[in-house]
Amino acid sequence: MADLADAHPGFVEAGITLWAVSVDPPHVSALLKAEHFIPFDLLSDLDRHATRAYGILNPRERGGIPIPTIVAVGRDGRAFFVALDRMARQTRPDVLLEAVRSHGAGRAGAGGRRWIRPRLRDLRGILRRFRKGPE
Amino acid sequence: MTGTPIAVGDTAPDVRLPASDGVIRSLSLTLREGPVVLAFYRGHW
Repeated sequence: MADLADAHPGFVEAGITLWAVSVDPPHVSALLKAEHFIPFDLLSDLDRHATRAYGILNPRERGGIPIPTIVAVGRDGRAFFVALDRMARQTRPDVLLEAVRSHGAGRAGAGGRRWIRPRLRDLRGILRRFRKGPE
Repeated sequence: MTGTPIAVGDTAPDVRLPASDGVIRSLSLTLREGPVVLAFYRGHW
């Protein structure tokens, strides 16, 4: 979370909205946000509907919590980047930002390319960096 | 884990969830502005 907070300006500059989702109630998220100076929104999935809908509910812990997952969604509503569990925890924000940028720029006028699908070699490069882990 | 995890190319289920300020955020509405990255995490305890 701290890594994403540090990288947040890059996401803003690219016109990309970043949300973190947990099953914590809003007041707990508010404390976490204030304690750790998190600049993006922390959303509360109290009833686990979103976590279930994304197929990532781990029902064995604390009444059900999300498996750590990063999903990047394009303007067409489709997921174009998904990292689950260990891969999500190892996803470096710069790699994530690169993946989103290579898919297409954020909001209109934010610069960069728009609506270009990632090429296979881009995805291979990203996967290689995942496997290498933090440098 | 329950269900099938979302995969690249899937339509992302719409979400309408409250943020820490109590205001509802809508994925479908926010996507009009640009891409959205959702980072699901285990939470604070």
